[in-house]
Amino acid sequence: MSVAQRIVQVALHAWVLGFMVSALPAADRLWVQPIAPEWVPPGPFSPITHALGTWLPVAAVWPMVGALLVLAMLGLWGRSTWWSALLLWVFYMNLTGRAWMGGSGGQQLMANLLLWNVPLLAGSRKKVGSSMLEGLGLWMMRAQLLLAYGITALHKLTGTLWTSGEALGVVVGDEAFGPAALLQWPVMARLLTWCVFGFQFLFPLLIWWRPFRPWLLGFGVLFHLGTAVWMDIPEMGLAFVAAYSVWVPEEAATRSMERFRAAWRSNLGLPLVRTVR
Amino acid sequence: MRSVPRLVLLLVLLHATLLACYTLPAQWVPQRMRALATSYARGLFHQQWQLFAPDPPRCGCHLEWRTGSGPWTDPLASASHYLDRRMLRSAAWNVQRELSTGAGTLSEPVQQAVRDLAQAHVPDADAVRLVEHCVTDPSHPASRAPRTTPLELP
Repeated sequence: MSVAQRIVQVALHAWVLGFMVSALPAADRLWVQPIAPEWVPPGPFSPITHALGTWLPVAAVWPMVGALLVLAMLGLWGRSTWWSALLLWVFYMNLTGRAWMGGSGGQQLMANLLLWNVPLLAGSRKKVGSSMLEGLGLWMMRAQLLLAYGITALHKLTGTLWTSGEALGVVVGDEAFGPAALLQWPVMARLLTWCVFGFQFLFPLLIWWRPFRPWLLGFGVLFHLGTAVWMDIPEMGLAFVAAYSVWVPEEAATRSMERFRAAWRSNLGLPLVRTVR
Repeated sequence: MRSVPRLVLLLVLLHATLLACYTLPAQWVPQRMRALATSYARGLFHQQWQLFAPDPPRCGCHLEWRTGSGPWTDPLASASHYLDRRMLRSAAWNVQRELSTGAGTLSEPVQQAVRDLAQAHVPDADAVRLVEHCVTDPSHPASRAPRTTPLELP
């Protein structure tokens, strides 16, 4: 497994683990006796993705949650295989599908990334880029992230408040969101509206140029951490940050990993060992 | 890009096109294409990326419950878990959406969700209402007009 792919695995599984642990205190209302009315999508796969509460008894909730936590930890330590990734996706779909009223775009984004992680892992034992499956998984993940930004930007074009710069003022003035203090700074609110709109519009275009990539990803991390805090959608903000890992190039990933190892060893007082490739 | 095998590129483009037809504004996609994309994406790849689009909602809203003639309670203020707050907001938005269509009564699933939320947060409540705060002029978003709608839950 390449260093870049290892970073993708850590990012995805750390997110799943964090989300599941954070959801546990609300487990009764999400999964056992869910507030959300039962809803099963049409299609041949729904007996698999929405088994819980339909043909699979509710008693399966806790074993499923436990298995999901174990699979996420395995992935975090680099022990995932394509079939464990597939199981993780099935359990994740069942649990998030049952709690759809607590859902978010971040959960949907992660559902798609976890599905494409299956072919990514199935082809990961070979050299980077040499495996069709690995390439399919990675490029599907990349396309998914670009699509999320591109589609929301196009939707915003059909309205009036994003282009006029008034959207963010309306959002932060809503009791559900914030920071309400921004209402005191209407010029700043207008500028930030255009920044967010421009970022979502330009991300799918500029990400292809290497010099722009660190700036785009850096701005994106700040933006999504901001939404995590002020929009009360922590798992959504962090899902996008985790998804950025699919755009980290191999050489940058290797360089970062070497720096991290060097810092780790020097902090521990251990001799610096260069990675032999 | 040069290292991406052609078959992979083709599959990714096809998948992305179908997802785009599924998620783009409905008026931009031919109806038959939309139906094809929906049958492809709905089961395995469901997603929607409106995210405060085309415009953010001008009316913020929440549900309030009351027991007897006591004060109205907004459980959002005391819900400590972010997913509990999300479900409360989601229920309020669903109620708001259904009322905005002009339907006199709420659909049974939404009614049931409102009852279940009451059971979880305000078990003794016997009345519920939707409270909205609506922007009248987007250039002055701090100024909002309140509106309350009592809900009938048979």
